[in-house]
Amino acid sequence: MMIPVLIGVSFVIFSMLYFAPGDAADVILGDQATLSDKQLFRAQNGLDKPFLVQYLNYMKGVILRGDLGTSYVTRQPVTDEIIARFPTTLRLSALSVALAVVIGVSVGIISATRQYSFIDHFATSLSMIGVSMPNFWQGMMLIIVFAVWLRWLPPSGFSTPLHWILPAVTVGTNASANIMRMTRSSMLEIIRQDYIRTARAKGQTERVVIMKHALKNALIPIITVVGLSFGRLLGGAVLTESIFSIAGVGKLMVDAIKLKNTPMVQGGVLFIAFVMSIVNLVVDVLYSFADPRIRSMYTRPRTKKLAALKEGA
Amino acid sequence: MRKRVLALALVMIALLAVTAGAADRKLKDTLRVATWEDLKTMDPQASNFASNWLVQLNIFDRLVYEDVEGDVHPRLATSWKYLDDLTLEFKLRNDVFFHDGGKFTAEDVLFSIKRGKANPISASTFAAFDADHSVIVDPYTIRLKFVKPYAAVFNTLSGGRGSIVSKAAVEKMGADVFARNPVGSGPYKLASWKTGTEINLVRNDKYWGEKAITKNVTYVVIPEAANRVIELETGGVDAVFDVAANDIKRVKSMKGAHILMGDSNRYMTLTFSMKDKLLSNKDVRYALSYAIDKKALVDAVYEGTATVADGMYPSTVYAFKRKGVIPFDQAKAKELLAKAGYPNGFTMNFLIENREADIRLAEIIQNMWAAVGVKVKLFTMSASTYTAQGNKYQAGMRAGNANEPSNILIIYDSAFGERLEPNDPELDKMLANAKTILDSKKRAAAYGAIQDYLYDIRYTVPLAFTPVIYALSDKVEGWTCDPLQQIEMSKVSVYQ
Repeated sequence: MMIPVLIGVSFVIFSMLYFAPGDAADVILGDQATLSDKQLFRAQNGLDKPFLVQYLNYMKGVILRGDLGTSYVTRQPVTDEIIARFPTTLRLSALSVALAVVIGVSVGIISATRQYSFIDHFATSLSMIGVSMPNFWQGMMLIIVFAVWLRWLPPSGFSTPLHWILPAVTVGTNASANIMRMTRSSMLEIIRQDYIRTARAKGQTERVVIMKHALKNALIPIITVVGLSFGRLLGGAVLTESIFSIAGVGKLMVDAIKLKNTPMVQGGVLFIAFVMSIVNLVVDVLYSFADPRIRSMYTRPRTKKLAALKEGA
Repeated sequence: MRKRVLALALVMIALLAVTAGAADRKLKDTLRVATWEDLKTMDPQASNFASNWLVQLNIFDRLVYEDVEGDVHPRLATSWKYLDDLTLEFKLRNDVFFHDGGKFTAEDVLFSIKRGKANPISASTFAAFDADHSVIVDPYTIRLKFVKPYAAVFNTLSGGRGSIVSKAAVEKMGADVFARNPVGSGPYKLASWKTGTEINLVRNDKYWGEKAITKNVTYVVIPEAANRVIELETGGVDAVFDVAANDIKRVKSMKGAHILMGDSNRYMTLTFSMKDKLLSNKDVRYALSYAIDKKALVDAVYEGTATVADGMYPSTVYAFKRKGVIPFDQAKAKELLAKAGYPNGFTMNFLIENREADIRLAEIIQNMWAAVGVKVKLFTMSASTYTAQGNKYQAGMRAGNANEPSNILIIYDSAFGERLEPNDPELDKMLANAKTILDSKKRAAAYGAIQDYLYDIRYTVPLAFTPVIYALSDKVEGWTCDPLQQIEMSKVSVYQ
């Protein structure tokens, strides 16, 4: 499934960039380049060839050598540039999602178990604010309060654990709002089920009822939301990266788009598509851990399989 | 005798005071500066961004150094003379080593110039150089040949693209590896480079000239202008490049920091497309130029930091001719429009790049033109789409930054194409001619005539000369207000 998706993505992005207005030669050579400089640039980068030839050359490099091309601007392999930045983005995403899960799931459970209480109202309105508050604004406020006024944390960069806190909180609180709402609604639905009443009737402690019987059954939609946010963040939290001057994948892509650095944009999009597919795969695997019914679909008893084969024959 | 003792005592006290003072002001061994973007490459001949040269000029040396007044000083070259109009002989230093230990010779000079000619990013700058016929007389003498007399030669050689790279290193590594691992002969060498985050330079202890005062220099990449200033405020950096006009007040209110502001080579110019029937009418161009209140415009957009353009290119550039600000005269504008056959005005397209200053300038101009009946449709585009539009749109805006008239005026040249396209043979001839005049006085006169011509023909309307703005900690010394932001870090010191 992954391979056709990636080929499709590569073709779409390649044609979009090919037909989009703007000539890389103009932007990269700058304003003092003459027409002959531009021709030289186009010839050196194979931009004077027809569309399909360019696409096939590109795909040949990608498939045979795993080569995503060379950045027009830095003359470095696109793969190297992405790999150099990916750890930063991965760290930011992982920290933010971890924070978001801790906040989102715990607050979600609390407000579901105490529906319509003060805590519930408070948490739901807080999550409304979290969803609607622009990320960049929140980031700037955090900088002003914690870096400029209190001088506790550095305002920009991502080099030491102290630097990680503000960006992770900015992205994490935003993502946690979604997770919290999903946890709450999913839990509310489960709590009304008969088997919860049964569990309670059987004299089970409330903690076990909630954590084991209710939460475990409410996990599927929560995993979906967490997976989606994680995948999205791995593509780069562009605004947050810009505000905190973090050299991540998102910033790299935006800069590349500005300069019409085609190989970088193509490589970046392909890479993000690849990462997204991996995350989706992991989410699917996690489903089967959370829900035995899904697991059973893939692990048929051996005897049954043989019987099925025989039937077919 | 007593007098002598007294004198001695005084000297002792004075000495003590001096040493005590020095102890109070201990030098830091790392200077941290905030810049607005990361380098694209460390390869000087593949660079065309100010942000690249800002760092590179500390790693690489050049043959000569041309100061703001246009005087040329020796660097890697000790002396030079013209053998004829097409031959320039340089004597080179024989005590210079590259960072990898290799010796600098005339081979490296010729190699660097050849690279410049081969790379499309610098080819137009090196167009007048004739690398194939240039001769290496001995390891420390080189005769550079030119295709035609080339007046801007010292500007080119002292500019970023004129940096001398190690031939041996480039040939060993290949250009792509070299672009990340530069080998120059400058006062600093590259210690480490974390892409998009920071660049660390360390002092070259074998530098031939005066060694750098501060041992380490770190360039921190902070794209957001406001964040650069915040880093200065919180002590994260000692100096900031490219301060936004609206952050000046903030820096001024900080304790222990100040603003350094001066003339730069940056300018904003309104361009008209000469392929357009409407704008090829000189009266229309004059009317549009009269309809803009330049002073109000520039003051509003740049909050008092920029000056209203009173010439065709920045006043800091060689042979600048002060033409005066084009007057603001709505009545005359209307009269000229009527004369041209548009008494009720017309509608035209105005294309700009989506940068804050450009947008604000354009919106105000839009209103000023509306006052004389000219309706403008504004189109805002990203840099790449902007340049791709050619002159499909009638008016455009150009932000430039260069210190050599032949580079600035290239937009009027037919070879440049797009945007203006005046295709004006007379102007082409004047431009080509001015490039070949070696006598400084005659050359200045030629550029003066070109500026007169451009002012008169009005293919463009100069709007503003914008300054270069630095924010510095009070503990930083030796920072010059360079118009191209090319700060020689070896001369900068920072105290604890």
